[in-house]
Amino acid sequence: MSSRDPTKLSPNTPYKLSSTGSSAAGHHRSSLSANPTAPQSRFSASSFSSPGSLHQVDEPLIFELGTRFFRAGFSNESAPRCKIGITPEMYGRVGLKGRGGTRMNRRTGEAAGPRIRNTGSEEWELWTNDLRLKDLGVVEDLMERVLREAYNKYLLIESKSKRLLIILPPVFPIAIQNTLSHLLFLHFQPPAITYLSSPVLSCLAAGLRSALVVDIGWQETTITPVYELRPLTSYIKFSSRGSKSLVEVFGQLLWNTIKPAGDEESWWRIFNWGEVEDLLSRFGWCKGSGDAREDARQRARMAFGLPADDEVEEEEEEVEEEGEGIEVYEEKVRKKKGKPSPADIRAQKRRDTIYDAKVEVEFKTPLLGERITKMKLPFEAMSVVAEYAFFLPSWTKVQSFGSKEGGGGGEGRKGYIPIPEVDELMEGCQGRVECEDESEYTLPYLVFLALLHCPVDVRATCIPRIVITGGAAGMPGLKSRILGDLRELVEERGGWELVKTRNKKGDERRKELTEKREKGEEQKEKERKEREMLQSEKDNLRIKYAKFGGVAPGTIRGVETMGAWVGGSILSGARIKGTVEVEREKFMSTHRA
Amino acid sequence: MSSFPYIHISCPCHEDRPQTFTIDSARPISPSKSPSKHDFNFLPTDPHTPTKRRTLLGGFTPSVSFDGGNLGLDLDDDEELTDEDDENNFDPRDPRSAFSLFPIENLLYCEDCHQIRCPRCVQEEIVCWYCPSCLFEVPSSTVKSDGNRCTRNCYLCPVCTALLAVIPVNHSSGHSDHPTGPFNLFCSHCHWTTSDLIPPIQLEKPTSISAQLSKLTHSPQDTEFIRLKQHYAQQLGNAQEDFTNSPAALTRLMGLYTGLGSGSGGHGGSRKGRGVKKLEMKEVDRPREVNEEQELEIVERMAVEGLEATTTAKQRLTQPHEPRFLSDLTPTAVLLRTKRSKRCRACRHILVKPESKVQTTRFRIRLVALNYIPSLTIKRLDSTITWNNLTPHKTHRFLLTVTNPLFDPISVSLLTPRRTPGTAFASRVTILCPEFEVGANTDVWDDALMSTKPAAATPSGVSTPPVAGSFASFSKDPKMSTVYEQKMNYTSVVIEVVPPEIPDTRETRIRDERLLEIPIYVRVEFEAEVDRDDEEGGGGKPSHSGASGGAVQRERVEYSYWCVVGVGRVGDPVEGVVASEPNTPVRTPVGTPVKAPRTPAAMRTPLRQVRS
Repeated sequence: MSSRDPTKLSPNTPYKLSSTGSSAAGHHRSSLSANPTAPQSRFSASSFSSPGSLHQVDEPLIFELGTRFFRAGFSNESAPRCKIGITPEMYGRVGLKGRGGTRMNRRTGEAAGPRIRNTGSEEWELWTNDLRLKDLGVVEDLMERVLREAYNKYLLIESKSKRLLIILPPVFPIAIQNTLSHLLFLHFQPPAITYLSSPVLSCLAAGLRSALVVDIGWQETTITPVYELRPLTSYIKFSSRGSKSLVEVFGQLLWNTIKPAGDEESWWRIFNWGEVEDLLSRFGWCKGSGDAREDARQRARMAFGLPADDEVEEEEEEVEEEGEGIEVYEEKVRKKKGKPSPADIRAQKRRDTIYDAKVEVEFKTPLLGERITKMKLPFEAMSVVAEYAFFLPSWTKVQSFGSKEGGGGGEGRKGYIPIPEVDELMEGCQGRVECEDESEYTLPYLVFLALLHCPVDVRATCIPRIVITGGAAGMPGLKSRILGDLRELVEERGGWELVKTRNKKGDERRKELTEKREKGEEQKEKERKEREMLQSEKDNLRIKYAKFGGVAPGTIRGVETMGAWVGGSILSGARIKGTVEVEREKFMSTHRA
Repeated sequence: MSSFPYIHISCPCHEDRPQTFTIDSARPISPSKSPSKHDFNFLPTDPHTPTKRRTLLGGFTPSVSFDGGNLGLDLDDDEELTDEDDENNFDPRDPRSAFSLFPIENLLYCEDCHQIRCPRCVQEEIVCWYCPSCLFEVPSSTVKSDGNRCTRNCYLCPVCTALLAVIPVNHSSGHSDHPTGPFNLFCSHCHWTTSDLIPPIQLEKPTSISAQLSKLTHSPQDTEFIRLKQHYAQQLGNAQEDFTNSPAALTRLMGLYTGLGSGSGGHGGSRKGRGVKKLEMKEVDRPREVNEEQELEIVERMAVEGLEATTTAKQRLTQPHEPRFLSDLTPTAVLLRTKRSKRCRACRHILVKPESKVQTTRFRIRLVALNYIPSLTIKRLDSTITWNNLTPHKTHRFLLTVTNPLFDPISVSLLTPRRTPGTAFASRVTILCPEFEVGANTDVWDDALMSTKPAAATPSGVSTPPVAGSFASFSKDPKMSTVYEQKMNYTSVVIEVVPPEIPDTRETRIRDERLLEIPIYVRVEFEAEVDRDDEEGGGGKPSHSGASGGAVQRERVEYSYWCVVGVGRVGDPVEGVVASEPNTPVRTPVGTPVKAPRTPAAMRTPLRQVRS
C-alpha cells in the first residue's frame, strides 16, 4: 500500500483519522462511527476510507453469525478455523449431564433443553427472528458461551488484540445486534467491530460484483439483489422456506411413516432433531428439473383420473383438455423419445441407479416401544423432502414414506407427494388467493419475482449471476433445480412477465391459421427473413459475449460461491475496511449510562 | 442423565448483567410465562430487585435486600405468596439460570471482592500454548503464523477423532527399528488409514508430517480461494497504479457501503480516474458455474456408495471444507491448548495463574471457590427415599450439610422460598433450622481428636445428634428448630420437602415439571483476620481494625449467593398418600416459620469491611 496523506480527507466526512501510534498497540483505527446499527445504512458522503490508514491495520478476525452455526477464523484463509453448531447441550448447565433440565423425555424422564415452542427447533438455534417469544437474555448468554468457546478453544488469541469483522444475515434483528455489540465490547473487548452483510460477501466470494444472492438459510430464505457490491435492501425477498422447514418436513415424513394410527405426538418428540438433520444433510438430494416435471405431470394425470403412462399419442389428445402447463412437459418427453443420445443413455443409467438404491436408516426413538427404529427407505424418497420444502405449494399435506406400496417403478412415486386437486391444477399457479404470501411461493417463483421486481438494469446484470448459497445449498441438485425451474418458468411465461399467458400455444396456432388465410406467400417470406435476421443478430450478440468470457444477457446462469465467510476473509485480507466501524470506547461511552 | 442429588451454585453475575439493557428500548418484555428477575431488573429503581451484591457491597440499608423485603411480609399470613416474593426468588427453571449455575468446582473466588467468580466473570490471558498430544510448547509467534493446530506430528482421525499413529505401509518390509517408507497414518481405534483416501496419501518420512501433508492435500476450494484472492489483488493493484491520488479507487472496488466512487468527497480524484479504462473493476474471469451434471454425479455417488460413505455433521464440522464423503476426509491436526491466567473482571486481581511450564500442572495462584465458600451436600435421612421417584404429598426429609472450608467459624443463614418457584406445581420446602453456625476448619489431627471446639461453637441446645431412627419422636420436640448434627467444621440441618402431585408431563410435553429443584439462598458471615493470607490486607489493616470496635484485627465479612439443590424427580402418586386438605398446603410438622428468618444483627452491618 502506498502511503497517503490522511489530511487530504475532506473534513466533513463522518470519519476522522487518528495518527499512527498515537495510542497503545492495536488501538489506532481509522474510521469510526459509534453507530452500531449502521451496517444497513449507507452514507453517501462517506465515499472513502483512506487507504492511507490501511497498512496500519492488523488483520481482523472474521465471525459469521448464523442461526445454527457460528464460524470464526482469520483473514486470508480459505476456511474458518472454528465452526460451532448450536446444540441443546449449549443451553444446558455446566456440569449437568443431560441437558438444560427443563425439558424431558416422556418415557425416561431425561432432562432436556430449554423451554420449547412450536417445533422443537428452538434449542438448535441461536436466535429466532420472532423476538417476541425470545428472551434476549438467553440469546446473550448463549452467544457469550459460543464466543468464549471460540476464543478459548479454537482461536487461541487474546480477544482484546484483534478487531472483528462480523458477517450478519441481510436482515438481522437490531436488538440482537445491539446485544451482540454490547456483549463483545464488555466481555471480549475487541478494539472495534465492523459489521458486514452476508449477501455482499457471498457475491464477492463468487468473484462477482453484482449478483442475485439466494441465501437459503436456516430460518428463512432471503433473496438479495447485489449491484456493484451493494445490497439493494428494498428489493429483498423473504420466504420462510429454509433449511429448517427441510428438517421439519423430513421429520414429519419419517414420523408419518412409522406412526401408529391415532398417535398425535409431534415428530420432534419422537426423533432427535440432530439425527434427522444429520441424515438429511448426508443424504438429502434434489431431483433435477426434468424429473420433477415428469413427476408433476404424472400427478396431474392422476388428478384427472388418467392412467400414468408415457404414451405420447394419448397425451396429444389430452393437451386440449388439460390446458397449459402440461404441454411443456410433453414436449420434453417427446424430445426424449426422439433419439437417445449418449448423454441421454447416461442419464437414464444414472436414473436407474438412483431409483434402485435403498437407504437403511436408524433412529434412536426412546419414546416408542423399541429404542431404535430402523427403516429402509428408497433412495429416491430422500429427494421428496426438498420437493415439499421448496417446490410444492405450502398447503400440500405431508405424506409418508410408507405409502409407496402399490406397484413398482414410476407408479410408486405418486405415494410421496399427494395428488393435487383438479381445482388446484386449474388454478395452476404459485399461490392461493386466501394465503397469498411470499412464503407460499415456491422458491424458483420467488427468485423469479425478485428478479422481476428489480430495476431493469439490475435485473439484466443479475439474471446471469444467480448465486445460491446458505446451509441448504449444499444439498446436491438443489441449485441446478432452482435454476432449471426458473428457466422453465421464464420459458413458460414467454419472458419476464408477471402475468401468465394462458394457452399461448393455442393462440399462436389460431394466429397462424388466420395469417395463413390472409397473407400471401411473399408476405410470409418477408416475415421469415426478418425473423431470421433477428435471430442471427441475437446469435452474434451471443458470440460476442462468449468471446468476452461472459454470458449473453438474459441467460439464466448460476454461479458458485465460496460462502460469505470466505468473502469476509478475502475482503479483510485485501485490507479493505468497512467504512463504518464500531469502536469500543465510543460504544461503551454512549451505551453505558 | 444426571444423578441426583446435585448442588449448583449461581454466580452473582447473574443479577448484574441485565443492567446492560436499560438503554435498550427495543428490547421486548417477554410475554412468556416466566417474567423472571431480569425482566424487572433492568428497571434500576425497582426496590425489590435482589441486588444482593451491590446492596451488601455498597453498604446500603438492608431494607432493600432480599431479607429486608421479606421482613415486611413476615407479618402477613404465612401462606400468602405475594408477587414480589415470586420475583425475588431465583428460578432454576428460567432458561437464563442455566448459564449462571455451576457446580462449585467450576467456580473461583475473588478475595478482594469477596465474591464468587464464574467463568464468564473472569478475564483470561494466555500464558502459553501447547499441543496436548506431544506437550510441545508452541511459541506465540508460531501460533500467530501457523494457527491453532499442532504443526508437528500430531494428527487426529477424521472419522473417530482418535490419535493417529504413523506406521509403514508394508509391515513386513524392513526392521521394526528402522521402518522404511512409505508411511501411513493409521487410527488404531477405527482402523482408518490415509490409504483409504482417494487418492491415497502416503508419506515418505515418519516425521514432520504437517509439512508433507500440506503438500499432498490440496482441496479445490483452496485453489479457488487463491484464484479469487489473486484476482482481487490484481484488481487492487491496477487500481492503485492508476489512481495513486484517488482514494476513491479502493472504495470503488469494494466500497461496500459507500457511493460508487462518485461520492461527493472524492470528486477530484475520481473524476480524474474515470477517464482511465482500467477503473472498471472486472469480475473474476469465468466464475465457477452451477453445473447440473456435477451435482447429479454426487447424487449418483451417494446412491451407489450408501449412507456409510458420507460424513456426519460432526465430522464435517472439524474439516475445513466440509466434505460430503468419507473418502475426502483428511487427518486433522490436534488443536492446541492454552494455559490461561484469569483475572477478576471487577477488580482485575489475578484469580488463577498457572505455571508457565507446560509439563507442570501446578498453579502459582489458584483461588477456587471450594476453599472459600461453604460447600453444601444433601443426603437422605430416610433411606427409603428414591431420588428418582419421590412420592407426592409425602414429607421427605433430607439432611443438608454445610461444610466450612475456612479457618474461622461462620454463621450461615439459609433461605428458601416456601414453594419452589417457576412452576405451577410448587413443592413446599421447609428448612427446619435456617440459621446456624459452622465451626472452623482446622488443620489436621490434633483438633480432630478433640471435640471441645465444635461444642463451644454450638450456639445452643443439642450437641448430641439424635439417631436417624428416633427422628419421628424428635420432630415433636419444640426445640426442633435446632440443628440436626454439628461436628468439627460442618453442620447438618433437616430440610423437608413435600412435593405435590404433578401430572405426567407427557401431556404438557414442554418441560420436566417433575424435576424438583430447590433454590436456596445462602448467606455467610464470619469474622476474618484481616491479614489472613493476602499481602494487601496488611496495608489496610489499621483502619479496619479501628472500625471494628476493639476486636483485634478482625473484620466482618459477609457474602451470599443462590444455590440450587436438585433433589430428584417426583414420581407417580402413591395410593394412601394424599394431601390432607386439597388446596391448603400441608403443614409441616413443625411450625417454625421458615421463610424470612429474623435477620441477625450482623445483617445490618454492611458486607465486606466495616467502614468508619
